Amino acid sequence: MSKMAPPEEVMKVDYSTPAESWMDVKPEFKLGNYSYPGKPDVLKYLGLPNPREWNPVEEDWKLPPDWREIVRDGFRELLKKYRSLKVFMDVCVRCGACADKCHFYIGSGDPKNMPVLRAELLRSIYRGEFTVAAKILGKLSGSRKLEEDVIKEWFMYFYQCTQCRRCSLYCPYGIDTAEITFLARDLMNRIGVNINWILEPVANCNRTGNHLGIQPHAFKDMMDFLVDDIETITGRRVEPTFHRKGAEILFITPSGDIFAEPGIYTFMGYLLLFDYLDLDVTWSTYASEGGNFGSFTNDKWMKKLNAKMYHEAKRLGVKYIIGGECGHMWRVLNQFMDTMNGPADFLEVPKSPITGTVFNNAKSTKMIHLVEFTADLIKNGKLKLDKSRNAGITATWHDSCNTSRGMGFFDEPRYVLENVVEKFVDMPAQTIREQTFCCGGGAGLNNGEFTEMRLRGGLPRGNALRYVQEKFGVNTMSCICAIDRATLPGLADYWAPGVKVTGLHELVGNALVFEGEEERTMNLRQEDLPGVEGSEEDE
Amino acid sequence: MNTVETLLAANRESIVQRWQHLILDTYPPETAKLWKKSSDPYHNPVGARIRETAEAVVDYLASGGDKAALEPVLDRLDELVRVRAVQNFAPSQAAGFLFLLKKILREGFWQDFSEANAWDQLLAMETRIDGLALASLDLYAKCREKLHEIKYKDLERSQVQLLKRAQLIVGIGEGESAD
Repeated sequence: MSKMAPPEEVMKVDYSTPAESWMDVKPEFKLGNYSYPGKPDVLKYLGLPNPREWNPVEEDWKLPPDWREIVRDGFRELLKKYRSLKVFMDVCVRCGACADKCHFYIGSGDPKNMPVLRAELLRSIYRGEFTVAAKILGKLSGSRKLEEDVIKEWFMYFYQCTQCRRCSLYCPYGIDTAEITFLARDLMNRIGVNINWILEPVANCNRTGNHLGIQPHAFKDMMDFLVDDIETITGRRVEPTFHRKGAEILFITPSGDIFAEPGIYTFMGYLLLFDYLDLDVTWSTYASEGGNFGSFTNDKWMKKLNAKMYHEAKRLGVKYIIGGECGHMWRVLNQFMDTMNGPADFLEVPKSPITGTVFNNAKSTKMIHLVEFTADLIKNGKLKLDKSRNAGITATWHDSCNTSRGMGFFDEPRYVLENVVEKFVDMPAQTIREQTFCCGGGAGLNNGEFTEMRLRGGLPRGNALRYVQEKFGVNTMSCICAIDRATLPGLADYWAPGVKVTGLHELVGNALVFEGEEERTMNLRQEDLPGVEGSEEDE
Repeated sequence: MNTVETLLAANRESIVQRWQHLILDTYPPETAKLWKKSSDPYHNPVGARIRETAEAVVDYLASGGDKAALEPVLDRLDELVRVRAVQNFAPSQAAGFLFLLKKILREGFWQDFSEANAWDQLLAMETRIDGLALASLDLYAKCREKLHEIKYKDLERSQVQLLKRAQLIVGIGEGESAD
């Protein structure tokens, strides 16, 4: 009979992780830690190379035989095209300021999620393939050669970056990891290494008009159902129009708002607001997508999907565009539109027909965000709002990365929120405004197979939310991004159970008081308003 | 308080710190190094939760078996297990950090136990630690169930409206009766 080890032997179990150089640690793919690869049909439709069935957990990724040359040539081309890339590759001094700033790093502890190391995945190849130092110093210079494992590592970690740009805020040189991720994904696309959750929406958007592939008649049908719901709730019949030539404004929002909860309530909020103002606004099924998954693919597709909105504005002859509560639509618009497709000279500088305010910030793009439009209305006393319709809510505000860090909306949404709810509390200073933490679902990572990773990346946001929930009784988190609205309910359910997620215009829609209106007994979710019990209980 | 509990209380700070470091050593070395240094609860929530949980558990164990309330310490354990449940750990690794405390007690105080001949007390203490480890495994299982529930709900949120709109599913009308 074998002897049992003495207790002290048993307790010598060492859980600590052995020290290994990061270059020697290979990525381990298992179900749940990667997003599914692009489907062959989708790649073919988009004209992307190397369409095939492949699986990241298998050894053979079926790369094209000349994949090394393709990546090298592509890298060379991008370095030439984007001076920023060359600067980012050369300038990092490894000061460590970014190390603990990434939400995926904070949540996972995986060193390759430190922004410095994420960039190093690309930088090591840059050094190894394009610089003299590597030829003399080899690995000592932090360089390495392009092997298949490097591509696997890129796939793992550049699809664990939501391009939120929090790290770049802390970098003394302003190295923008989001741009590095953009370009790394561009390189991978050249050899057919990509994810379906990004490419299929791009294909759908190009073909059908929106990421989800909702066809025009279905879009109209869903709108009709929401119009019916609005009538049930408010007694008002709103009458949105489609493709109306000569309308003053074209309104475009993410397609997630038209059917997914809780986005639909925000959608109803838009419709109510436009009805309240009797705004000369039209919708389009061709431009039925505010989001731009092209920006997660490459510059070609980002440009094309963005251009689609402007084509429609031109075709309809509107004066300007208002965009709904979307995130990366605004990143593309604010950061890239002007040089890609702008200036939009055929449109007029947006001027609010209600207040007369001219939005000179959108002088060139001619497109404004609904939240600045609404904030301006409230500031000028044009909306009658009843906060008690949102009674019982203690709200906090989630700054969506793209609208806050990407374009500087910090005060406008808070101003609107404070005007429609009775209680509002901000999360801790290090976790909001410029320093906001990502929801974990940006840049194409809000797919079903990635939920566990997303919760991991959502820890910093969830942790801050938990703090205000426990300390101030926060029970609602509001935001202006469709990906947030899809991602945050799960995040809240895990990290701060009991907090619900709303779009901003859902709360505006609840609070709007129409002249001569019927008394409202329920909110846009058809929940009884506080103090108004179900009619049977009242009797 | 018996001898083992007194030792625990008297060495609270060093035990908590040692335990915190051992738990952090279950992460990659670069991370363990960084997280041992940082006390910012928002940039290092994992480190902060480990510290708070370690304190709560040590205080609970030091305060004597029947006197301490179990609920608050389970709430603290939940905060930490919730994190480790989505961090790529095997279930045993995610919930097994309690056993590292046994290691600390044996390595640090073996001589003291021996001198006081407090072996029965040590056994009792270790049994309580085992109990908390099992409770952590329960918490782990709950977190994983929650994860799957979230996946299901995400799917439902994104699809149910489509089914209703397509009239593939129809609910019960208002005031409608089965009779």
